[in-house]
Amino acid sequence: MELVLIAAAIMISLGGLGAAIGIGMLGGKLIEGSARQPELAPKLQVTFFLGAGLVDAIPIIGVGLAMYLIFVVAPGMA
Amino acid sequence: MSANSIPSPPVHRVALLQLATLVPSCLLVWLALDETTALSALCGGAVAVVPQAWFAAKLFRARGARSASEIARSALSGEIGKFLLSAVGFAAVFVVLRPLEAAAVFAGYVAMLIVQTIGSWWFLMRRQQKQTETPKQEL
Repeated sequence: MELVLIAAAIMISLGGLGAAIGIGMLGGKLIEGSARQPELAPKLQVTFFLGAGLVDAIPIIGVGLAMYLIFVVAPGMA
Repeated sequence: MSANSIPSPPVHRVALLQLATLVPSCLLVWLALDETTALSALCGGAVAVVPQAWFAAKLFRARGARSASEIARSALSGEIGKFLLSAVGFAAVFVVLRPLEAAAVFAGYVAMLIVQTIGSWWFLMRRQQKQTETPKQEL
């Protein structure tokens, strides 16, 4: 049972790490692109919105699976 | 172009499209399968729609190149909020919903992600296309 909680913790932490790196890179490129070509800023913001939705989809599914492990598979441990 | 004159993208339409897809699909699942599966899929879909709407509202609060750092800040806080809302949403679904069909929860979530990606691309790119075509017609 403890292994289930450790697995959930690894899933949440690595998912959060991946999302943080991805969104950080996207945000950095957004600022860089807006500084280089200010007239493209609204387009870049929309592209950022689309990219961010895709980047954090997998980590959030990982968080969902972790919640499933914590609250359904090992409910007594939580 | 000042930040105030830049129109906000129709991100609310994406959330409305997601809801307009989710509710009838769950009604169909209810009719075809059972109530538990439909309710689980509905909850999974809601876990995708609500945090995404929060993120969109936070991200498009500021617009324009001069607000780039403000956009990045609001994107960061929006992303944190989205992550937390999703985690709390999944936890609430798995704690409160009984009986539960876990596969249907994740199926509803993934379905709403697909609708979000296609819908965002469709609405936002079509709007940008219109904006780029308008000055050409004026000339």
